[in-house]
Amino acid sequence: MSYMTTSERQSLLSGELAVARTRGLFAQALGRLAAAFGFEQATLLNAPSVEDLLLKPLIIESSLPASYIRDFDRGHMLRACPFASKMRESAVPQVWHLNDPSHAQAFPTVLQNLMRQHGMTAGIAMPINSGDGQRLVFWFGGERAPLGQSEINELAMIILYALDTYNAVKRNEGSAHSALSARELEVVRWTAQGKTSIEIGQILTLSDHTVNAYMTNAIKKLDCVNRTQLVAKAIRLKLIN
Amino acid sequence: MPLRFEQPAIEHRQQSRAHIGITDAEALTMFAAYRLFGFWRMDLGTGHFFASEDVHQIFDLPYSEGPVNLTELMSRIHEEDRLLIAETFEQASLYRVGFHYVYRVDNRLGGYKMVRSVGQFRDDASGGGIAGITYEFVEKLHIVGFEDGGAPL
Repeated sequence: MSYMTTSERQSLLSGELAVARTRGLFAQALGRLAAAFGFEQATLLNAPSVEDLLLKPLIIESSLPASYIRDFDRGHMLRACPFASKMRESAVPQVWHLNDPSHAQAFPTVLQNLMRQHGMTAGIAMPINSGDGQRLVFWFGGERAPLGQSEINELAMIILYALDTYNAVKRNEGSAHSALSARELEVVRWTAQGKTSIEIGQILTLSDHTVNAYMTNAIKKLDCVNRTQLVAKAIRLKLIN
Repeated sequence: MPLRFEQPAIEHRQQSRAHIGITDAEALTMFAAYRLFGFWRMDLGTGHFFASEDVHQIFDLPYSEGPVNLTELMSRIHEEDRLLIAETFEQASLYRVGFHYVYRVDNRLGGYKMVRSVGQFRDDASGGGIAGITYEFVEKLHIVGFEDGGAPL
C-alpha cells in the first residue's frame, strides 16, 4: 500500500492545474481536485449579488447535474442559501455537513432535501477575488466525512493555483478574441459553415487568394497548424457560434 | 498532449475470420444494423467536414454531399459536451491521434440522445484529415429486433 502525504497531493494537484491552459482542461483539473478530496461535484461561479435570484447565470464551470441546478432555481433557493451573503462579505471558506445539526438548521428543508437527494451532504464554498476584481466562489460538494482543518488549509492553498489558472485561461481567451481582425473572423466563420474559399470570396467580394491569406493569418494568430485545428479552436473559444 | 483520458486506448487484436466466413463488409453491416450509423471526414487542408446521410439525420441536418455547416451541427450538441468535443478535434489534428467520445445530442423532442463518435487521423496519402464514424448509442438490455421482409425456408 502506498500513501501520499498532504504536501505531495498538494504539489500534484497544483501542478495539474498549472498546465491546464484551456477551459476544458481547467474543468477537468477541477474535477480531479474535487475527487482527490472525496467530493463528487465542483463548481466555479460568480459570487451572487443581492439582486441575483438564480444560480445558473452565475456558473462559470460546473459538474453539477443539470437537474440539480434546475430544481435549485425553480425553488428560488439561491436567496435561501445561508452562504450566499457570506460569499460577498467574507473570504473565509464556509464548510458544511448536513449530519451536523448546527449546520443543517441553517439550510431550509427543501434545500436540504435537494442536497441529500443529489448526494451532497458535505461541502465547502471558498470565496476569492479574480485578477480583474471579480468575486468568485470555488464550491465543492459530495458525500464524505466533515472536512478537517488541515484539509481546508490544503484546499485553500490549491485554490490559489486554480485561480491563477482561471485567470490565465481568461486572458488566453480574451487575447484570441482580439487577435483576429473582423475580416479574419468572418472568413473563419464562413469556413466553419462549410463554404469554400471561392464561395467566401463571392460572399465577401474578395478574391479566393485574399480569403486564403486571411485564413493563413488566422491560423498563425491562433497558433494553429491547419484549418481543422483553426475551426475547432474557433468553436471552442466561442469566436464563432 | 495536454488533454488526458482516463480510458486507455486498446488496440484490438486481429481476429481470424476466414474459417468462419465473415467478410469485412458483413461485419460492418451487422455492426451498423438497427441504428443510425454514419461516416464522416474532416479535411485537414480546408477545415471542411463531410458526412454521410445517417450523420446528417443524427444531428437533424438536411443531407448534402457538400461540406456540413459545423456551426449548426455543434449547436445540436449539449453545451456541456460541446467545448470538449471541439477541443478533441483540435488536439487530434495537432497531435495526429485517434479518439472516441460519447456525448449528448439534441433529440428534437426536448431531451438528449447519446451518440458515440470514433475518429482516426489519416495522412495526406489517404486524404489528409480525421475520418470517423458516428452512431446513436442505444444499447438496450433485453431487446430483440428482426429485419423486415423475412420469409420461411
